[in-house]
Amino acid sequence: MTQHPILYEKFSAKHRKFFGNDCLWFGQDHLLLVSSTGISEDYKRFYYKDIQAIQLMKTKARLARIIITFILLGITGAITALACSMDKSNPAVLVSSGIMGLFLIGCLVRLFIKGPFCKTFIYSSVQKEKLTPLNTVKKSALFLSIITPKIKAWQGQMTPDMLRSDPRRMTAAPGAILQHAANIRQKIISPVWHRGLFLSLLCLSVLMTTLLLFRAPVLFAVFSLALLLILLTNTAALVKQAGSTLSAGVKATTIASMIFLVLTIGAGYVEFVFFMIKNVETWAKASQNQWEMAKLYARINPFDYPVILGLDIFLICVFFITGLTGLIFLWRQKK
Amino acid sequence: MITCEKCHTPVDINHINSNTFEPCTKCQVSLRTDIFPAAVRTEAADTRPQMRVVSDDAGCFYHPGKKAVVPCAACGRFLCALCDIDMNGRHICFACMESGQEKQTAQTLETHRFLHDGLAIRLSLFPPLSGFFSFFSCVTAPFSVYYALRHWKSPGSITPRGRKWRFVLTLLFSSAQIAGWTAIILTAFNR
Repeated sequence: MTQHPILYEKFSAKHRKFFGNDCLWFGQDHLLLVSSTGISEDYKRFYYKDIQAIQLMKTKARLARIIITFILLGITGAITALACSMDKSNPAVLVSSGIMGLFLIGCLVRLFIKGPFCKTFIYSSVQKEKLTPLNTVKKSALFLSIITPKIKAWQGQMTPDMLRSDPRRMTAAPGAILQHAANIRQKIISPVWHRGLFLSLLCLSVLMTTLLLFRAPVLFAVFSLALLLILLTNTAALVKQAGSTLSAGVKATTIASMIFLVLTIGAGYVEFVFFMIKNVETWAKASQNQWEMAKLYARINPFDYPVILGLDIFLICVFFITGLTGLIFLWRQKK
Repeated sequence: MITCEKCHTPVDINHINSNTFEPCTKCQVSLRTDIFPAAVRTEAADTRPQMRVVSDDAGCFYHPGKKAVVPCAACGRFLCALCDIDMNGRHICFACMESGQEKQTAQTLETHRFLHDGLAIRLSLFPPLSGFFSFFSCVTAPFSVYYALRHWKSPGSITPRGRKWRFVLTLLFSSAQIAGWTAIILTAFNR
């Protein structure tokens, strides 16, 4: 059985993933969602005659991204100011801060141009699918302006009478909404792990500030243990929150804290490698002994190394903001 | 049932097809819901009668006792209403649909395709660009040339993305790498 190739018209929106991307194509009688990995493609077809509904849901992703970008911009500015105020200011720090600042400003401009973010869902009689390429209101509105005439050409015009006579109860009549409270399928959990995590993040930021001012080996040992415990708490919180009724804000903050914790461990490793290169014998000998390592770290004065100082300040701010944001989200959810 | 994606509350009828964002009645998240006639249309059952063959009527290939209603668009066999599969206006039999799916000749049934051009260009570009794995280009370059030529005519994506230029680029890059390796080996031998 042979068929002539189907003609497709590409829709401009694209959702980039770590490997590949998702994009949309308009066929003569169907919409094609292509998930590509670069070396293979998966296809999902939505026939115009079968599409029952398209739903757009506004999200606060843009606001969250703007806030994060502003925080990063502020931190970059603080590091630059700190580097400038030092007697031996390193031009490399200024240049890298400048590049970072420009990059962040570019991100901000892009976020403002993109407009509000949203999620788009398409319904047919047998499936409901999220259209990942349509993640902004602008793109989704353009998509609707193209697809609606095509669907109408296949299905005809939707009249208000058709909607009200709705034989399949696709929609709810006003006042009947409370009857559907049992529709919620998510599990309800107590956010004990999350509360513990956010409180420990606040404590961690205090501990790091103390470490910046008082370089005691005991504090370093406590810091290492605390980091490990918080990492475990964060993992437990991530496992617990899957499929739960916790708000999106709490979930996102938990994920963000995990990223920052991993970043801290990575930064610590880089720091260790840097000092080991500088003084191989001492650091290599101490690498097998945690207490000796703590002692060596205690001897380092961060005010002699602007990059380490900047990184420490960045992590202190990040842990403080993440912990506080998480607690605010939890408080709002409880309210 | 069209529900709010966040709280799973059914969407209010007054908020449908309004072309604007309206708050969900429960969680207040902004929603825009466009519903089409397929949502309220009830599927009519196949009303075509399953008639039995009488006198000179043509019978179904698979059910000889049943009257044929349509020929298969692919193989020409007569089909009764039960055997007829409507595939976007084309009436085909189950056997043709199955063979089309197996041989990847029915585009409308395909859900996955392997992109040989994508693999070829990655094999050609990744090792030299990676730095660490650049040594492997002595193996990957000849292999990607073979792969590009072997799959020159293999079916690519069903969407009209250009694929030949990927093969051409693969051949160019790989040839350059092979030339480079040849030069290195010759220089090493001449010393």
